[in-house]
Amino acid sequence: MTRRLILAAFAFSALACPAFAQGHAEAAGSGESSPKPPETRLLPRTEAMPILGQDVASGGTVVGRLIDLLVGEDGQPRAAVLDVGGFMGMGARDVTVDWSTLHFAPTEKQHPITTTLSPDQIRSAPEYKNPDQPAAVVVQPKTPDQPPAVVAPPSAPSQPAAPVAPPNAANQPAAPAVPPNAANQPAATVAPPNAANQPAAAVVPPKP
Amino acid sequence: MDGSIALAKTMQGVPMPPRSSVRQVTSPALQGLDWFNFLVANVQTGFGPFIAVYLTTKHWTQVDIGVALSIGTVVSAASQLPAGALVDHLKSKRVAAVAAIVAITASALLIALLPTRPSVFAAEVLHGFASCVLNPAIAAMSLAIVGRVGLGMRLGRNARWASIGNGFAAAAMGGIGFYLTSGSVFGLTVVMCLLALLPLRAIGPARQRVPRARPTSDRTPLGEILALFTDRRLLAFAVAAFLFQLCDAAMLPLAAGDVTRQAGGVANLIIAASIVVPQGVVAWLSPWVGRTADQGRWRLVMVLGWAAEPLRGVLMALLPSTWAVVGVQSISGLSGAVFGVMMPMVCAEITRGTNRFNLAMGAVGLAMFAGASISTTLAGWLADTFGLAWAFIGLSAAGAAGAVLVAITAQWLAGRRRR
Repeated sequence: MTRRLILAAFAFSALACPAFAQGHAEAAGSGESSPKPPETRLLPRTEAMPILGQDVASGGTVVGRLIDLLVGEDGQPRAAVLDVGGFMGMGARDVTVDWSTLHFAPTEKQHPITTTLSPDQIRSAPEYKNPDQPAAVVVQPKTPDQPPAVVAPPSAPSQPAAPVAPPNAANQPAAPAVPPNAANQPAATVAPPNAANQPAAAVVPPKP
Repeated sequence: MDGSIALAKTMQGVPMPPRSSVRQVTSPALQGLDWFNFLVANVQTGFGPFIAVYLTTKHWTQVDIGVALSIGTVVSAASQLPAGALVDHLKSKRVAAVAAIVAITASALLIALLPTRPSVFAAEVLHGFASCVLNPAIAAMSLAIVGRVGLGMRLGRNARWASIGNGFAAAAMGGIGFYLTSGSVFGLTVVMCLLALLPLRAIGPARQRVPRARPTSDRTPLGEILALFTDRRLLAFAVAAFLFQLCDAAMLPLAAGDVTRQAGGVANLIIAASIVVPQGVVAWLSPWVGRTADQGRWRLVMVLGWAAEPLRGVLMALLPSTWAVVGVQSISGLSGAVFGVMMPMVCAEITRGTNRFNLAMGAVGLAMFAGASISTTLAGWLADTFGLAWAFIGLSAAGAAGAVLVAITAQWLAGRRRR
């Protein structure tokens, strides 16, 4: 008798929780739907890509995963939070890297996100622990004998627009206040679109 | 994959204990317990720190991942005592194990197939409660099958197979998560859950025999529970378990984080070895721990195990964060073996003649859980304020206090056993 009850309780809680949640989500969705669909424009997958949870590579090897962004008042990203290292989650650390050290190639299959920082520069970075504290953002070192792109060019044939980031003026370690340089230029000169990825229908503000 | 090979070698080198119990026990039941311990350890690996990695790949934000993990934490803490009482209440301990495995299967399926917020939150709740049922249920099945006389040997074998499972799972799932998708780790978890149901058939219903005529039988259930929770041996052991976990839980994460920073490209290999190698040590030592405990030398075993923790902390503080970490980490194999064997043994001793074994397990489990939860926060604060070395020293101080307390507890337990 008791065993039936226990099993039933387990089975019920297993089934009931997601079922309840789904009903909830549908109700919320139908409540927000307006009679007129919002204005959209198609954003092809070749132009923009989702980045949260994606691998970040340096010199052909994956060094971490992009998990968050630090964005300034102007809406421009200043730094990215990377989850670095570890085995099965053990020993993983969060570090922040300057936004200009990251490069995005939406059509690249192997490593769409690359960084000009070396794996060791990223691994040995101070840990990003408390969002309320200033973040120690890793910036591209300004050494004259080293070209900005310290990484060996990966074997990928279609390397989009070689990262010729100008040496950053601001090199103070503690302050992430890097002047918004030409980091946010879209990687327009990309290889021909390979697979037909679904374009996103981005909601745009209606014209006046 | 190297880890599992190393483990297999370790297994071959160590002869199995010649006899496992004084009571006549069918061999299929014992082998069933071996397999069950192995598979359950496999099942639980995916739910560790890995779940944060998995959810990150599913585009979860850090805030939501934090909420999911907090739900798991709160449910685990709240479930320890009720789950223990529930397992006590069930006549067949196998039913508890089956229900827990079914619930964990459901939770792994939810996480693998539907990584949305409601289903992952539900999965965390299910898994949190089911785990609190599963651990006492394994100990209770062992107690029901072999009785008190050969319990140490049996628990040693449990710990051996659980650690082989842990090592195997870390190696296998680490490989699968690296070469395939991280979601396939939970696929493997589901397979392991279903496999874990098979040895339960061999174990049998595992009903605990409670002697009828006993000194406490005239007490009311409430009075019996009250007597248990005011038993100084249980209280002292719970505090010792709290201090043990306070010292233990943050140590590997703290060291592993520093290895990632210092050791360069081989960091992940070092961390993997730091997880797998101690499991081999547990597999090697735990039968000895069980045998020594069966011979009545509880205090020797307990003090050795508890004192190994502060020793590990001091060595962590002194040695560099490179391959030395693997060596230092293997010390935790001794403490892990002792804790795995002695926690159920002490609970069985304290609840002798009553049907409150799993409630006692839940009480100590709650103390362990509190220690492990505070450990991470404490270590993080110590490392930020005083530096990494002092964080290890601070954890060691807690561990040393635990070692002193466990020596006293062992004395009290011995006094009662001789009577």
